[in-house]
Amino acid sequence: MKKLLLFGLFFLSNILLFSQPGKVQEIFNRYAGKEGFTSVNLNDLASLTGNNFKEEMKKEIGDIYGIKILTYEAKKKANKKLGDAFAAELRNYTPDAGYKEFLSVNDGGNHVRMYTKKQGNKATEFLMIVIEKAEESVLIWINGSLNLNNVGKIGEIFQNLDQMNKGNKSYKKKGE
Amino acid sequence: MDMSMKNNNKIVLLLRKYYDADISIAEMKELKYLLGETEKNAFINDKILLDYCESEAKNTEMKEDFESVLFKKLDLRASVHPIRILWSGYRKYYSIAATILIITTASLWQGNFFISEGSGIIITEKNLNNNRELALTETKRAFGLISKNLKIADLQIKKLSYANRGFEKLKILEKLNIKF
Repeated sequence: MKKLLLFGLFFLSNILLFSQPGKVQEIFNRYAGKEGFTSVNLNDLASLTGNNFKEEMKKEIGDIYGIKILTYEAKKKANKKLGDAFAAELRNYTPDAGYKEFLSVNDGGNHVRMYTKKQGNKATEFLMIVIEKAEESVLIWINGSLNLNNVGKIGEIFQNLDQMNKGNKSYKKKGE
Repeated sequence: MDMSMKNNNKIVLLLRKYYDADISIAEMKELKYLLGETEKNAFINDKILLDYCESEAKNTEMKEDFESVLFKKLDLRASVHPIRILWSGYRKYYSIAATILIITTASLWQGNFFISEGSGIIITEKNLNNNRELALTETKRAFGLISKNLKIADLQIKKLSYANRGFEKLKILEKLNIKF
């Protein structure tokens, strides 16, 4: 019985540790699936890359467990009213307790904010809000920690993938 | 060979080439006559017919007349070729149907109908295979945005650190009672 209780507590702590932030999930529920919005919700970032870069990606993303992206673009068919509501919500967004803002950029109509949530010394969640005037708003939530190094390397892998997709035959993986 | 004969030969060759019409000179002359009739006895000369044959006729209505006469004639001759009858009678509809079929198949192959950014799509692991490209574009863009802004943050931190160092130096100078 004691073992079962301990197991239960361990299980619960894991859920709490890696759970999705309530407010972010609420926003996703409200806007995902509506006209003008694109939503990506992946628990395994490496699954994006296919077999060519899976191992390489797994090595680089090490501490990233999942990603959620919600994008609004003011295109022809987009629901502009919802788009404006989304931008307003992001502009006034105050994240759940535990998140700390570490970057804020206001440049003309553009507005960027980044937050991290830490467990001890380790960042466990990353949140980013981007509002580019009225045309585009993005909400990114990452379960895991990010730094300039792994972001740069992941970006590089995506770039290589893109080149491969475009059929650039001259492309060769590094070291080949 | 006079000019008219040369034209007749050329028209027959063009009819064979562009319309796959197994047609003789006599039949071609009959065709000219029939065409004249459908054109309400309009004067059909060799030049117009050559234009038709080379599919360069500017008057689409007249070109359609020509084709319908030609295919009507071929239909009459093609009792042994049922496929040709079907093809010649309805080929416009076939091309429309083929285009629709190709688009539909391509869309089904992709697993969606013209799904693109901003269409309200929700991509998860379940439908990732059908929407990998879009997911990749979105994630790439997200990392691009993060990277760009992290670089800004990094730059700001470095600037701050330089400013702090400068400030520390000023404090040392102050302690040493050095004034500018």
